[in-house]
Amino acid sequence: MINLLFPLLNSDITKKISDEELVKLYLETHNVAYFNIIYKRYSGKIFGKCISLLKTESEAEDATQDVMMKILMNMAKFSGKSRFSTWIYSITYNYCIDFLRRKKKDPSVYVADLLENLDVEEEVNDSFLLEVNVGRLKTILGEMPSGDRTILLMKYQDEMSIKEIGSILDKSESAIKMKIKRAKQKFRKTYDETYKEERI
Amino acid sequence: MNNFKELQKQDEEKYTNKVDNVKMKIDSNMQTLGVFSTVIDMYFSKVINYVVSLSGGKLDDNSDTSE
Repeated sequence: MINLLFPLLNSDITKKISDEELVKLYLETHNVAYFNIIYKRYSGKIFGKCISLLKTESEAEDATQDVMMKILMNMAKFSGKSRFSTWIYSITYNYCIDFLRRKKKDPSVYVADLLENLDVEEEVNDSFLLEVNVGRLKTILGEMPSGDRTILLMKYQDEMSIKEIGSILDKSESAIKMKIKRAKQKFRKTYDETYKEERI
Repeated sequence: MNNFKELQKQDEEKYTNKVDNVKMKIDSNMQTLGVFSTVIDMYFSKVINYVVSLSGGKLDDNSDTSE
C-alpha cells in the first residue's frame, strides 16, 4: 500500500533531490509523485507538531490533512526566500494557532503576557533545555501553555531564526527574544515542579 | 541531533499509521478534485455557449462543438 502511495520513494535519486527542486518539478509537471515525496518527508513532522499543539490525535489528523492540502494548493506561492521547511512549518504553526484561537482552548496563544513575573528570574541557559532527556522533554512541553511550547519548538526543533519566528507570529524581534526568555523560564519552573522530589 | 529533534523523530515513528491514513484522505480529495476539474473542462465551454445563445449572441464559428 505504501508503495502505491509513494511511487518514487524506492529510488535513491529521489532522496538526493532538494525540497526546492521538488517544488519546481511539481509546479512544472503537476506530477503527484513529487508531492508524495514532499509528503513523505514532512507529514510526520507536521503531525508531530499538530499533536503537540492541539493535544488530540483526531484534531491533529484533520490539521495535518488541511495543512497538506494548503501546501499543495499554494505551492506556487513559495518564493524561495526562506527554506522550504520554514515555509511549511509556518503554515503549520499558523494553522494550529488559528485553530486554538477559534476554540479558545488555550488563551496563552493570544493573550500575550499572562505569565507571572518571570523576567525577574535569572536567565535559563540553552544547555539546560538541550540536556533534558527526551521523555522528560515531552512531559514538560506537554505541561506548558501552547504559546510557550510553540516558541520553544520553533527555536530548538525547527532552528528558526528570531526574524523567522517574528514573521510567523507577527511580532517584533525584541518581543520574540522576550517570549523565548520567558518560555525558557517557564520550562525551568515546570521542570523543577515536576521533578522536585528527585532533587531533594 | 539535539533532544528536541530526537523527540520529533520519535513522534514521526510513533504516528506513521496516522500519517498514512491522512495520505489516503488527501488522495481521495485529489481524485475528487480531479474529477470535478475534468467535468468543468468538458462542460464549461458548452454552458458558456448555451448562455450566449440564450442571450441572442452568435456562437464563434471556431469554437469546438465536436463534444
